[in-house]
This record gives sequence, C-alpha cells and structure tokens, in this order.
Amino acid sequence: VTGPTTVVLVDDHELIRQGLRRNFERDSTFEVVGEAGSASEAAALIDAVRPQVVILDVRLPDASGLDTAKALRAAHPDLGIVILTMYAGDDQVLGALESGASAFIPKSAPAHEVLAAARHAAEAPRTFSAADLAAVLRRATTAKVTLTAREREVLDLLAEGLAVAAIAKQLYISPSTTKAHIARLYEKLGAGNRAQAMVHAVKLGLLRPSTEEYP
Amino acid sequence: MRPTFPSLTGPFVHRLIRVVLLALCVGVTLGTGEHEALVYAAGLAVLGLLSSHPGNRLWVLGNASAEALLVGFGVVQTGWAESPLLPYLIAPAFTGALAVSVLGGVLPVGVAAAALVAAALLDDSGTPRDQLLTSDTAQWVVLALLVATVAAWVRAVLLEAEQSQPDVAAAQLEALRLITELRAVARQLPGTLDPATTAESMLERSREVSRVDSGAVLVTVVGSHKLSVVARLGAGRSRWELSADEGGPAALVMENQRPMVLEGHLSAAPDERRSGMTLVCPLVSGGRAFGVVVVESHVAGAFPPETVDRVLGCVSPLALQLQTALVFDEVRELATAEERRRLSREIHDGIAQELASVAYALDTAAEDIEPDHVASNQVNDVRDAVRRLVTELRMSLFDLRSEVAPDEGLGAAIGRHVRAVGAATGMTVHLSLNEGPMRLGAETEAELLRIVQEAVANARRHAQARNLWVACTVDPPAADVTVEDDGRGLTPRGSADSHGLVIMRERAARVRGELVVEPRSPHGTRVRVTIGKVRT
Repeated sequence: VTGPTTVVLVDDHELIRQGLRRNFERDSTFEVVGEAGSASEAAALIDAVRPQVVILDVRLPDASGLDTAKALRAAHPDLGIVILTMYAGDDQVLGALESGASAFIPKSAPAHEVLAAARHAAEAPRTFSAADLAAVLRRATTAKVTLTAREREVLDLLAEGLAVAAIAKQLYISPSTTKAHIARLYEKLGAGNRAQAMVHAVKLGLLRPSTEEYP
Repeated sequence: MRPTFPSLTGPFVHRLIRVVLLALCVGVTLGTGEHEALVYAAGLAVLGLLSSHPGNRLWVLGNASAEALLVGFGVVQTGWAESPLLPYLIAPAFTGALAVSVLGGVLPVGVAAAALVAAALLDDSGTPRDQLLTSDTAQWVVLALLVATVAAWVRAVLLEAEQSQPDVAAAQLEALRLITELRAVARQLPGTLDPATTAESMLERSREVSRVDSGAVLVTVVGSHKLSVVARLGAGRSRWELSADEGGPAALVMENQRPMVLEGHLSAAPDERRSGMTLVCPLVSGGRAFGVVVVESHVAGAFPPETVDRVLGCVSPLALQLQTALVFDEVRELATAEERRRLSREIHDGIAQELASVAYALDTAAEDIEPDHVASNQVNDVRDAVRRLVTELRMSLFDLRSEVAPDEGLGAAIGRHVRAVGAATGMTVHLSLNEGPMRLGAETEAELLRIVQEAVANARRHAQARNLWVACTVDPPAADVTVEDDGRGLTPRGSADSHGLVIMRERAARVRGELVVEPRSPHGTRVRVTIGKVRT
C-alpha cells in the first residue's frame, strides 16, 4: 500500500492556500507537505521535499507561473504540475499545455475538481488534462484562418468545381476581381492550387456545413 | 557672475585631487627622509585650500600659478628630480584647466617650468645643469600638461551637458503648453480634434482645387508596415489596399517627402486600371512623413504641376493638425488600455482571490455539514452563488485583458473573444467576419472590441441567451458590427443604466460611431454599432 499523494501549494495569496489546504486535508489520499508564496520559494521547497504534485498559480510575484512550470518540468520530469488560474481564455490553456504542466484548472472550479486534477497529475504527470481541451485545440487550429464573406462564397463555389468565369458570373463580379479573391484565399489557406486549397479548407473545418454562419 | 567651476565638478573634486596628491607627496617624503619637503607640503595645503574655494577665473588662475611657483621652489630646495613634491605639479594643472580652460592648466605648469629653468641657470652650487634638469623632471612637466588637456576636455563636455539642460526644460514647457491647449480643445470641441474630420477636409479641399473623383487619406500604423485609412472620398469599390512596403508608391512618396503623379488608378485592381491619373501627396510634420493623401481623377492629365501645388497647398497646412489628432487618439487609447490593465491586476490580486478562497472554504463547509441538516441547502446555495461570482469576475478580467493585437485586425480580435466567451459559457456563437487587409485606427478598433464585449456580457449575464450572432464588417474607415442574442431581451425599466448602454453609447461616440440597441424578433436583443457606411 502506498502512502497518500504528497502535494505542495504555490500561490501568493495565503487565503487561497488555506482554502485549498483544508480541502486537501479532508481527503486522506492527499497530504499537503508544504506551501510557497513565490516561484523561488517554490523551487527550493520542491527540491527539498520532493512532492508528487504541485498546485501552481500562474501569477506569482517574482515570476510567471508558466515559466516556473517549465523550469520545474525540466528539473523534475515526474512531478505532477497543476496550473491554477483566475484568468480565462484559450491562450491560458494552451500556455499551460506548452509549459509541460499536467493539468489546467480555473480558480472558479469547485475544490473537488482541483483534487481531481491533482489526482490526474500524480498518476500521469506527463499527460495534459483540462476541461474542454478538444474544443480549445480545435479553435486554436481554425481560428488562424478567417475568411471574408466574399472569400467564403468563392471557396464554396470553388468546392463545387466551378471555373473562374462561372464564379464571376454567379457573384456578379469581374473575372479579375474573382482571381484576386482566389489568390488571397489560396494565400490564407497556404495552398498552391485548387486541390490543395480544398484539402486544407476541409482540414481547417472551413468546408463542413458550417455552424458559424450568419442567418 | 558666471560660476568658475562647472557645477558638476564642485569644489569637492578640486579638493579631492589636492588631498590625494598631497598625501602621495607626504608619503614619499616620509619614505625618503627629505623632511624639509614637509614644510612645503604644509604651504601647498594652505594654498590648496584657498584655490579650492570657488571664485572667478582670475582667482583660480592666480592661485594655481602660486601653487605651481611654490611647487617649483620646493622642488629646487628638496633635491630637484628626486624631490617628493614633483607629482604635486599635477594639482594646479588639473584644477586650473577644469576651472578655466586648457590655458588655465598650461599657465601654472609653465610658471613652474620657468621657475625650475631659472633656478637651474642661477644655481651656483657647481652641480652640472643636466643633473638638475633631468628627463624625470621633464616627464612630470609633460604629464602635468597632458592632465591639463584632459581636464580641459572634461570641462568642455560638462559645460555642454549643462547648457543643453535649459533646452530640455524649454521643450518640456512647450510640450506642456501644447497639451494644455489640447485639453481645452478636447473638452470644448470634440469634433475638431478628430483625425477623420481633419482628413475629410483635406480631401474636400483637394476636390475644390482639382478634378478629383475619389481619394483617401492613409496613415502609418504604429509598429507595422500597414497603412490605415482615415478618410475616403467618392463612391465605388475603390480598394485602398496600399501598404508602406518598400518600393510601393506610398513608401516612395513618404521616403522622398515629395508628391508623385501616376498614370491610371491606384485603387483599382491591377488589370482594371482604367485611364486616368493618380496623385500621391506625402503627409509631413516635424520633418517626418506619417502618411499619404491619394487622389484620383478619370481625366487624363488632371494633375499638372500647378494643380499638384494647389493640392499640396490644401493638404500640407492640415498635416500637423491631423498628426496631432492621431497622436491625441493614441495617447488617449494608451491611457485607457493602461488603466484597464491596472484595474484587471487590482481585481485579480484583490477581490477575485478573496472570493475564490471564500468559495474553497464553503466547499469544505458544504462537505462538513450533514446532508439532512437544516442549513445544508443554504450552505450549498451560498456556495453556488459565490462560485457564480468568481466565474463572473473571471469573465470581467478576461474582458479587461482582451486587446486587439498589433498584427491582427478587429475582426480577428472579436472572433477570438466571442469564441472564448462562447466556450466558457456554453453559448453557441455564430460568427461572420468580413475584413480586408486594411486596418481601422487603433482607438477605433479598441473601442469597437469593448462595445462587443459589453454586448456579449449583457447577453450572457442578463439575458441568459443560448445563441449569439456576431457580424463584423470592416471597410476602413467605415465599420459595421452587430451583436444579436436570443435571450430575454431588454427590460423596459432601468435598462438604460443596468445594461451598460450609456457606456456603450459613449464608446461609440468617441470613435464617431452610432449605436442602435433594439429588440430582436422573436426575442432577444440586437446591438449594432456603425461608423460611416461600409460598402458591400
């Protein structure tokens, strides 16, 4: 039988550490072995007590939590790192993912979710878990390409196999304007020809029956 | 009276030099046992004290020469080249040059050298003269002259630095005067200090003096090679997609700060350039080009030199006003953005953390309490309420921190924001963006994004909407942004302040936009902000 999972709490707000500590202490599978209020304290503490999991706030007085996570990951490959943050937005989740953290949890989540994230981090420190991760990753790839309404029309007609002249006729624009739209479309999609453009558009989710359509 | 010492080297420096050199001389004296030198050292100390006292040039020169004479006399009396007093020759050389000029250093050294030569000529002890005036003595004299040169150079540098200070103060005064003026203008006449109004009047005036059909005023976007369209003249589908990239007409005109006449229409697609002429004029203020005015005419030969001069005559006088308005907008936007960042930090580090910790404490309390206890439901309700507040604060922080990045446009920023909010709240977002490569002004982009944030927050917070439709068309300087939701709609009473409508309206007015808030059929709210008229 292994002992409880050892946890270190890192947050510059003492009240947050207290609140989390009480919740961890209620659960006999965890043991809080230390607290730190800054990145430098955290690094020293973790070197000394070697916990299985660290709960890390992304905003620390002396360094960013993500940089701290990177440094901790480099020094301790098997440490479970849970990023805890008040900030919202996909870039926060992606930043945590890139830093080598094991889990991401917002401060608005209830305590039992923090414990669940800590449990995951202890078991699989080198994987990454976050709520709604699949959607975040999908947005990260599609958000990079934004088409204008006209370009979207041109793309749809291209997908139907229409020639430039036919597209121009259908959209009531000149062939040269159509060509300019197609050129910009290829550029945005990173394609050199129509076939490539189609493949990339499908990959980026631009050619599915779109839900992102203004009525 | 003009102070003798440059203020950056007060008497302290002069005294320090003397104390150090005197200590050296006394040290050597004690080492060699030439105790007679101590008498001269004492005399030099007294003279040194006098010399370090600030006074006019004559005072300094006189003292330095007296010092040098005493050094010379002392050297003669205490063993010529072996004299421990010889290094002290540097003191009058340094202080004289620092206080007066290179002459002030050379004069005392010359006095000492003359004294030494005279003493050697008059010497009747029978010692050969070349043993009296050795190369060692000459070395110290040369060294003292070198020190005098260096000190004179230091003096020149210090004086220059001092004299440039009054210029800085004058520039600051001038800046203060301008800013005060700006403040008065900005408070009283909101319309006049507006880039679009100024730019439009440039185009209007150009049309009065030449046969211009269409035109645009474009200015550089800070931190990028792009140009943003401040004003536009004439209907049609002209594409003012100019960039400030090297080699292009806009870049050439800005680089040479001279107007340029081109065949054909610059704003048409490359293979659709009909006959006609384009005139590109630089916008210059303070010797720097910050944009171009492009005017086009369908008439061949529409821009002969005298017409170009007339157009320039309309454009150039307004360039300074336009740039002032642009800078004023930029400063206002910087201040607003900085204040939002500060507010976000304050909320993040203060109330947000405290509420989050209360929520964690309530999590513990909710688990501790027996499920059938009378207070159990209440504790759970309070916990959920606090949790909602933390979520709400988190979204507010997200709004405060969302900005239009320098390399993305308004549409991209709006898209990023509403997608993230949709993901965090479970609202389905339907997005339609129509945005070309041209940008709006930075302040316009920022205010439009904030209006969208407010409208989306209303839909989320008050209306409990399930779907959100966001449409954004950017056609600089025009823009059209609509946010619609299928929520409960506006409450008739108190809606004006409870939904941040006043703030949205103010934001719109700040960038010359018009805000319309109306019910959406069958239910929900539509918020639409338009700036100018976008072309479809």
